[in-house]
Amino acid sequence: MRASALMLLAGAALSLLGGPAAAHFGGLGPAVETRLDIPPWVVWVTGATVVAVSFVVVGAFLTRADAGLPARALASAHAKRSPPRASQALGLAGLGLCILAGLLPGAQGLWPAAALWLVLWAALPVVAYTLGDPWPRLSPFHALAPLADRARRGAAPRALPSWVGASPAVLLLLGLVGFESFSAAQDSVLLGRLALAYTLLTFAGMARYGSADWLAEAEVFTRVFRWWGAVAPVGRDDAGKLGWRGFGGGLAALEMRGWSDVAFTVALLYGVNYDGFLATATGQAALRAGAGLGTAGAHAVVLVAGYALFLGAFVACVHLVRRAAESLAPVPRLACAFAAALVPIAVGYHAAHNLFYAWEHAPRVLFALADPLGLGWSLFHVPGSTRLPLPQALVPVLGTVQMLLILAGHVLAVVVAHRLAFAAFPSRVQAVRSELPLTGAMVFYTLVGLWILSSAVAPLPAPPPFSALPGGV
Amino acid sequence: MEATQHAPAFAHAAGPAALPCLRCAEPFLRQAHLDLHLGRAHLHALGEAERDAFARALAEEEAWLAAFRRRMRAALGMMPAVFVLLVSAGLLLALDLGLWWVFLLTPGTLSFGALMAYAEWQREDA
Repeated sequence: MRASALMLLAGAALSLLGGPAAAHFGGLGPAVETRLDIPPWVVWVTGATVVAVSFVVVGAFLTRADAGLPARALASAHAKRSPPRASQALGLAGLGLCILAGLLPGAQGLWPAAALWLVLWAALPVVAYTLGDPWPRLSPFHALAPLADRARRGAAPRALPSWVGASPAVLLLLGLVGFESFSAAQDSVLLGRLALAYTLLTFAGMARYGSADWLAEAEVFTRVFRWWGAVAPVGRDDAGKLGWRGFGGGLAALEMRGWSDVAFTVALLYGVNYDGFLATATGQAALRAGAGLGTAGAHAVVLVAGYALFLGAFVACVHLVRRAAESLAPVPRLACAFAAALVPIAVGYHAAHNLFYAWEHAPRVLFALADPLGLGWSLFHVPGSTRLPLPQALVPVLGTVQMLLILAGHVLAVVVAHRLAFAAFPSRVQAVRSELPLTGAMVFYTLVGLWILSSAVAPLPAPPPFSALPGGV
Repeated sequence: MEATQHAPAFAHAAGPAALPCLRCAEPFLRQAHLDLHLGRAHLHALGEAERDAFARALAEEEAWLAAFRRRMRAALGMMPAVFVLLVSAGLLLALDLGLWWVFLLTPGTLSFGALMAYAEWQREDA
């Protein structure tokens, strides 16, 4: 804890460096401008320095404990708890309203967009990585699981092929990330129909392969929230007892069993960067270069190419880790051992991009619920404005806070990588040597993230969700 | 966890120079790594000679880590001086006073940094 506190202090001190210039922050942020008056190069150098210094601090203070045995067994307590049905009914009602919005003629409600982009994409992940994974308690798919299992009429579920792994979740997550940048992402009818299609797919998957396997492996929201929840500082141990485990304490127990799990983790990291990348000059140029393929084609090519770059960087890093540690362990095993270190970076980016956005637009969820289908209902009175203003003291330093959130994610990633390295190799010397390429990868991801935040030159290609709402962005 | 318990099936691609663990077939490139693996993964099944080898490897590992910690502490000791120099250079540039003034600061600051680094290098592990 002392080392982590030192590193965060160092990050805070370094981030205050810099003279007047203009580095502005893009992304799906609040309507208030988040300007950080320091030159972009200072932002990049600071970020890279903090990550590198964190490696030195970790080396100086955290290399005493014996690595002991490899990572403990997979956490099983999580799924053994029976989530309360009442809260799952809320999730089921929310999903039902989304589907109704897609099927009822004349329905143009705001609820589907609010549920997907504000609740599931922006706000609930914040709950997950601060307080723990709330999804099993709210998931409508968990609520439908007994029904899907009964649909087999007593027959045993088929085994989900091991080569499938997390592949469906990877494809669905990348699809969701790509879809977010289109204006159609606010179309309640389209969202409602997509919700219906996804519900049918999930139900069929649970019926065929068993709800336990399908939800754990292929259901994208269950996976996303489990990954976010692993960063939460509180969690249950194997005996089911709730306790403090420190930020990132659940990452060692994340199930990484093959390339698809690694690909999913990289997709999670890439997904929080993608919309910001589209707002940079490079992103705009890439979209223009692919204009011949049509809007959707250009977005798809940029999405896949950027993802391939992120995935390739991580795989190259794992090869370097193997070489630096003089290890003969298979590359896929090492990739699985270290992929969880990327999750705190994704958390930092997510918090920087979405925390204030979720805060400011939170009242819109109530407005959307008051008339979920857009039929002119007023189920309850919503007092106040559609926006919850940020505290005045926060507005001038918003850009700095965003950068600190990103740096905190990276510093936590270095600490987590250190723990994972100690669990992955029999020798602590191997573990320390393996951390050099990992730190290099962290610096790369830091530079990419800070470059994206400080290089936004254009508004997002599509209006952010809720621009159609009263008082919208 | 409700997940399917697919066991990781990662094939080893060890060459002829690999030293395999006779208990679990895990290959290693160095004898010290194998000794540490035996001690950490199969401690209760080890004979006396293997336990001795584990103790020796552990001692060598601890010595390497102690030297590594000293280097890292020395680097940390040097860091405030480097930080002061960088801030000074930034201020001189921002105030348009000319970067050459930083050369006046360099000998004293770096000497102080070297002294701090040396003190950290000499300090025994707490």
